[in-house]
Amino acid sequence: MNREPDERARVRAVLDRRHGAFEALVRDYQKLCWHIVFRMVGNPDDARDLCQETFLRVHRQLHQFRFECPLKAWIGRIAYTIALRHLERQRAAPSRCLDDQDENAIESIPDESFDSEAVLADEQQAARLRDAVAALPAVPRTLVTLFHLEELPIPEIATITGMNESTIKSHLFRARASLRGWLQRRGVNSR
Amino acid sequence: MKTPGRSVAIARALASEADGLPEDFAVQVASLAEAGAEARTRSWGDAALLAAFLAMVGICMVGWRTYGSPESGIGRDFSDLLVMAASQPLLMIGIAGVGLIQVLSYRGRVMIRAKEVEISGS
Repeated sequence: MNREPDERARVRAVLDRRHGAFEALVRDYQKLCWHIVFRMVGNPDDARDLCQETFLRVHRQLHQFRFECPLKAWIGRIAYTIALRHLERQRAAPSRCLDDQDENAIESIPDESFDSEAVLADEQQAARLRDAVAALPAVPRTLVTLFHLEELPIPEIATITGMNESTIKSHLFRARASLRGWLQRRGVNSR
Repeated sequence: MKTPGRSVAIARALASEADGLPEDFAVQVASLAEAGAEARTRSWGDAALLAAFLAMVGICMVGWRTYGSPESGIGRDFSDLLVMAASQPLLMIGIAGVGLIQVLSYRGRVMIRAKEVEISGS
């Protein structure tokens, strides 16, 4: 299915300031924006402000969109850049981060042995898995969300983050291993 | 490097987490964006009006200099503005009138803007 004509019509509608066009666009992409920004900054209040900033920038710069990538990736890129700048400004480490022991554990755990499906036996364990994702550093945490939750293809994640594809894959493998380590240390049966 | 497999478990765990955006987030952002765009358009409009006014004054001055009475010395010498104004009252009234209209219309736009901000804030 060709996405471009739809996106052109949609962008045209916003640029022509057709009533409700921008609101619909925001509604369609606000979840993606939240997932990127919140995973990056880890603070809901900041994330709300940054999501707003993202869409205001989208509105201002939409005339510059050249349809070289999906609109979703373009908006995601803006959200990621705004969140990254926010982190740089704050120079703050993510609120909850893997400690050294966790980092070492990443290397020692073979990725293939991690069966996250078994972890989701009940809601409590799902909550632990969420905590484990939240405990990842900002960038891998965001990549995990974009890949597993948003189900974006690796090239689109590369467009959003500006990273090359092998770096993204490497982050994803390492993140998965660290999730398994994190859960095992907290006594969650991951097999 | 091979592509990692997607995990339904991770996706489900993350999906069950509610996002922290207010329900009317899209409406709020859209109205803010519209207001911003409107303000940008207005500021360009204001700048264009000011430029047009200055251009008009410039044209008047050139006309004055070109067609002003040579006996009065007004066409050559701009040093005595009061003398010039006294000798060309109709032109001065015209410029003052256009200036007044500009000021009044700008004031009107500012008042309308303030009213809109008040309405959107309430």
